[in-house]
Amino acid sequence: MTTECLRVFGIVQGVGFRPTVARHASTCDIKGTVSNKGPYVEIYAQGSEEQVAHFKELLEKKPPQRSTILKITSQKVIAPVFEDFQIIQSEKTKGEIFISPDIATCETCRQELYDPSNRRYLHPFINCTSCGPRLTILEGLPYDRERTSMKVFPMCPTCEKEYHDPTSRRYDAQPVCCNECGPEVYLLDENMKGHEAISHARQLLHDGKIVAIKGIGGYHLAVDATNEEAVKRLRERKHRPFKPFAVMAKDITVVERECVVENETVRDLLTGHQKPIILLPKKQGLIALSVAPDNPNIGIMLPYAPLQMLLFDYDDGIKMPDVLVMTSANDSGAPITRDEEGARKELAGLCDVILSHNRKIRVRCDDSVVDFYQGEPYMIRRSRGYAPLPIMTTHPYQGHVIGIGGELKNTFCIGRDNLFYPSAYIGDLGDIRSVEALKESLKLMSSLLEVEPQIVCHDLHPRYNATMVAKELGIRSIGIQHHYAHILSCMAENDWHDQVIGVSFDGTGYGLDGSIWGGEILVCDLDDFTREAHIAPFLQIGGDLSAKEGWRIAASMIYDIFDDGENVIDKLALCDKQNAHVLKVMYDKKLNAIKSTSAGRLFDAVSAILNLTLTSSFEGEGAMRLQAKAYQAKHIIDSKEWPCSQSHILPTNQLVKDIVERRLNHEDVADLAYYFHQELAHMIVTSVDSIHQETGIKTVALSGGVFQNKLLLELCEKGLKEKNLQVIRHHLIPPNDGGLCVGQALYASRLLEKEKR
Amino acid sequence: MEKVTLAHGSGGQATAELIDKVFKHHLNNEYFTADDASVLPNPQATLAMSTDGFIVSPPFFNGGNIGKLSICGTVNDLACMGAKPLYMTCAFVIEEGFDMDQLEEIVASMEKCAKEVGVKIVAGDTKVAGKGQVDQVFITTTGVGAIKDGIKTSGAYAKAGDAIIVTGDIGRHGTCILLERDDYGIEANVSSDCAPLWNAVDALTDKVKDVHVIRDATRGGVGTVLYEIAREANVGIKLENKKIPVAEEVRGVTGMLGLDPLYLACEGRMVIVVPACEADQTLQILHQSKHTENAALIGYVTDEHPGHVTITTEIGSETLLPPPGNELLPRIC
Ligand SMILES: [Fe+3]
Ligand SMILES: [Mg+2]
Ligand SMILES: [Zn+2]
Ligand SMILES: [Zn+2]
Repeated sequence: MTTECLRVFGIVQGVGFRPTVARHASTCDIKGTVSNKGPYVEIYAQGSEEQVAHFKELLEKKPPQRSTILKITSQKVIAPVFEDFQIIQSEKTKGEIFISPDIATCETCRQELYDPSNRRYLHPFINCTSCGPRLTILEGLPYDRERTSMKVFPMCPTCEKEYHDPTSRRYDAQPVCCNECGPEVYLLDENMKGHEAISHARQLLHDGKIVAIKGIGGYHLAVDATNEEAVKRLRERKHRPFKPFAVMAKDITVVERECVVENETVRDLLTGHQKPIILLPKKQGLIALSVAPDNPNIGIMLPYAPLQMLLFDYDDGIKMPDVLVMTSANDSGAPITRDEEGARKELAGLCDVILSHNRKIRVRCDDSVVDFYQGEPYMIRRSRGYAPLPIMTTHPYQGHVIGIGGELKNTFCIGRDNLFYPSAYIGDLGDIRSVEALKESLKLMSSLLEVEPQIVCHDLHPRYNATMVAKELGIRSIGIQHHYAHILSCMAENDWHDQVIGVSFDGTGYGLDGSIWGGEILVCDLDDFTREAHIAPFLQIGGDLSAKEGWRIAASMIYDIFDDGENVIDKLALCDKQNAHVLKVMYDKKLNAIKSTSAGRLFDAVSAILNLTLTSSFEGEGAMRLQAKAYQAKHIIDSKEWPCSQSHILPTNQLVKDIVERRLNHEDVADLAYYFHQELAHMIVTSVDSIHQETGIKTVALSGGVFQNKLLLELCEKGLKEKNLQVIRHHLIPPNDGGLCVGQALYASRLLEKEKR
Repeated sequence: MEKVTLAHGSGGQATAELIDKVFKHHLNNEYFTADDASVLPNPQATLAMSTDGFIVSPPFFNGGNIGKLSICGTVNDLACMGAKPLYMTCAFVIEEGFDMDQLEEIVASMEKCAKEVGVKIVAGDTKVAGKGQVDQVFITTTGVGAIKDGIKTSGAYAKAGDAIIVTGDIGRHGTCILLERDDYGIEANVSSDCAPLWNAVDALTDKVKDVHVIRDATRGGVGTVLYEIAREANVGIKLENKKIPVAEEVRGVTGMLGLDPLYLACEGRMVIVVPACEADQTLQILHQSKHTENAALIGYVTDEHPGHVTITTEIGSETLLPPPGNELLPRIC
């Protein structure tokens, strides 16, 4: 007889790990114990050599579905004789900590939900050891019922029995509950609950009304997605004229009616346990046009919480639409609403009724948004289902750090030794309520991860509220350049340590020289960077307005290029004569004008020149329309050899000139849109190649919000590979500012390490 | 047309003529002196004293000129302390070749403005600088005022709950000067808000003794003043965007230029902070006084976000007003 002490590291909490271990133990006739130590699960396995070996094999090959094992250590120990195999209550040990993201309702639970003979028939909170809320109900670690929002709901005897029965699907499932003992659904501030409340909400949705629904990480606003008028009403109330709304479809069949589901990978992600919003090509379906106007894609997801399922399918005979708009519920700018006080304040004016419940949301968590690139998921917004899973570097960094993140699409990242935990999506910090949400979330995550950060890394922009939050932490703070942080985030995601040529193509970031950067080619390592090349500078006139009104950038570029600028602007119909003249005076006097190399603004300008978007109603609208148009190109214009006046400046001004002239010659807009992407990629590749020739660096990192543009990404990747360069790019960390925090955290860790030496 | 020459500044005959013809002629009062200093009765009060230099290009603009501006500036500075302006001095630096008629017009409007609030210009100085050494005309004014009994104002006195009132629509002067300087081809008649506000403050402080803060919003605009108050009193200031009065033409012009009226200069606007219970009466008095007819309550002092100014917009977002200094730097990615 032998006894081994096994320690299993990874996502091992809240995923039914201990019950699975107990089942394996009984299969192999192993005696001993399993306990949750917070950072790891500890198992004492006693049996014959063969039994123990078999047990270890099962553990490795058949871990619980939702778990992720990073490593298992084992050690022979001398131990007393165990009578049976027992699950021991949690005790806390400091060390590596993994918090499980929330897990979408599993198929078995869904079946039980609709089985009239099951005791959880239509129970809006059904869950089991392999599904249900995790991060969003967590108050502390280790993950046990008394440290979650479920602590106020004592289990009924039947649930209690299941919870303690190793053969049950709900053995040790912390949020377990049933119709008798679980939380309760009700209409906020109306006298209706349970069945009646759900049925009433369904009726309103059916009638085209707007309903706020409490989900896993916050409230959604829902409306019948097939009802044009209802969707338009929601747009009016949300002050959101064009930005696409996400939709939730009843099931995969409905998704396939509305969108192209290209392959099994897409299907698996749609139906999997993370259930992000996925951007899929639109088909001629039933979804109203105003859900995603002028957009070839639609953001779609399947229900991931039982209450969402009940909206589509219930026992009240109401014939429901099978697609609902499901957009995060908040005032514009504010973070997603997570509690009833916020719902009353912020949602009452937006919706007709609020379907709420009394299970508290501890951490806000928006839906994740995933695109597909070359058959693989390409993250746009990493939040529910993913956060706060860490990225691990092979390099053994030590110490605790924070990357505070960017200003728009803020997320922060806590670094704990070699594990980097990006937070759930916080939002745009221009709004003071999002700043509060950042502070709150940062505090909670720091305590969950048991860190005492030594250093916080922030952006250099003097107007970022994120920086203000960083400085208020009262620990050492350090600023790093925006576009360098983007490249570092790409290096972190790819576990890359060596020098790279970083192509950081992005919206607006503060440059080292006080001007605005954004179309940058940098040589970077983990310690520092040099700016090797950038797009041709132009004047960004009109402050923040210039980021919304692409015609301003276009006009400013045209004044740079053409002597008869006002005439050209007039022919292109960029703006009226009055505005053209005002901009000319501002251009001449450099009034409210700042030098810029922002690639995002270059896209806006070209989108305006081609009359696709003169003024954006949401961030990235110009670029989005330009890309969509490019995909409609019928004729490929030949690539040019661009005269490089200065090797460190990409002649994008020449490209703009060329496009303007071709446009004035009435060349096709779609062809020109494609031509712009093609030639910009061509310039990037040429510049990178010449830097490669000079420096010998063979690896190129692509990052920055502009690389959400898959056409540009593809053209760049292809061009670079033809030059025999290795490309690293983003996969599950967003290329946009949502990933910035990871680069900042990596920089901070590296700094700590250097200083220790 | 007669011009100002270097001889006018030499101290000799020509200077005496200039003083007689222009200054004595317009600034005629019992204390105005050609002696080395004017002799004034003791006002028997706590005094406030302030000085300001004025450079404005162009010196004549829609709604005023540098002369009127130089009086309003100092009068308003004194008024902010609750001080009745009593005496002022003015020092001119004139560029050689400046038009004599224009100089007269400037001095005449100074006197007119001074009379309106009962301040006496009691001494002056004139220097002429060579061509190109100054831009047309610079004026420095200094004023002394008597602080009214029981009035004590300071940026540090703002308290959570207080009401924030602005005495009229904002950003006029800055917009007016922008339009005067360059031809934007904009058909907008924007006149400067340049005005002396003592009479309004006097009327207000007769009735409302508990005024916490009075600040005139000049160069940095209302936004800068609000940040000063927020920082000095360590309080938050919460504005409601739709309540901030901005003239239609100003909104149009600043919209085209991408400028925020909160950060454009005013020359006749004050930010007044009073206890919320005094807000109605304050507005009522201001509405009846000259130059403050369009006073409006724009927000409240809070204890949230101390040191910061936030704005609730029409669409419900609550943003931070960019602190003064970097307001022109685009932030959006
Ligand atoms: Fe960025
Ligand atoms: Mg002064
Ligand atoms: Zn389940
Ligand atoms: Zn129960």
